[in-house]
Amino acid sequence: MKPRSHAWRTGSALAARAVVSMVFIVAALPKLADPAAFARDIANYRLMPGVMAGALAVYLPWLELVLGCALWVPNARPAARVLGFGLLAAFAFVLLSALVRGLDVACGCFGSGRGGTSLAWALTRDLGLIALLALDSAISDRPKQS
Amino acid sequence: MTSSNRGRLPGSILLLLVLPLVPAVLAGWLHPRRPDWSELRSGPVAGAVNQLEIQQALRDYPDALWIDARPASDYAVDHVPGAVSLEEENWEAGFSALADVWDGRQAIIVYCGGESCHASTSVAERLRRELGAEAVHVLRGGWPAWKSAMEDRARP
Repeated sequence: MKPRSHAWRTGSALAARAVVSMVFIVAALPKLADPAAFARDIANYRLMPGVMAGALAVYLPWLELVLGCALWVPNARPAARVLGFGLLAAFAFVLLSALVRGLDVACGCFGSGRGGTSLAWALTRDLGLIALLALDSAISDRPKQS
Repeated sequence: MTSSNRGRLPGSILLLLVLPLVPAVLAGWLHPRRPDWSELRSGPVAGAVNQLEIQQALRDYPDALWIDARPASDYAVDHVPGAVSLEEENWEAGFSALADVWDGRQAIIVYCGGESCHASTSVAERLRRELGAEAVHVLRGGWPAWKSAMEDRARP
């Protein structure tokens, strides 16, 4: 592999990882500050009992924060990627189900009180993050050629 | 990924899943803005009613009927134009006033004194039951959110 091509690939993987990591961390902070509001956001999707919504509201932001950080720890990165894919796929499912059911709810993706985000846009953004994570994974897992 | 890394993967995944549990349990127990577990346990109180952001409410429901779930004394000081005062403590009087003005098809948006009050949610739940109306929403942020939106609109 030519050095310039290798640098370009490494840079792309780093950039993709940085975006995903930053989104996980930035999304976690407001939810960590106000779990009660996030619990209401989750409950509004009407997919689970209230207590489970409350439990997820206190757990998910910490998981997002851990994943956002773990993407930069070489030993933890493969696991963080797998969980990141799972989490983003779960978010996509929830957003899609809300769209299909015609629910008129706040996304809650970046905490409460941050309106203006339509569910369709949130779903698009979520799929974009999955694509970025896949890009990082594909480039980083590619065997290095001399 | 090497084969030894692959072998460690399940353990690493488990570790990353368990790690957030400790702060999450502490947050659920001690956080000043932790979820209201008794309310969540009693049923889908918050989940049965859509919560609207103020901009979404103004944009998507321009003809909504507004319900003020704050105490009547607060309503008397100021309220959303055209809003009907409806307190749980004085339900019959407020409900009959509502029945006089509601056309049966209008969306209803309930607000109370702020983010932390639950009056709007419980009034909205009760309206859904007693009116049989599906389109009953709660305004997230309540009266302060409305005031703030109106102040923003008034700015040049």
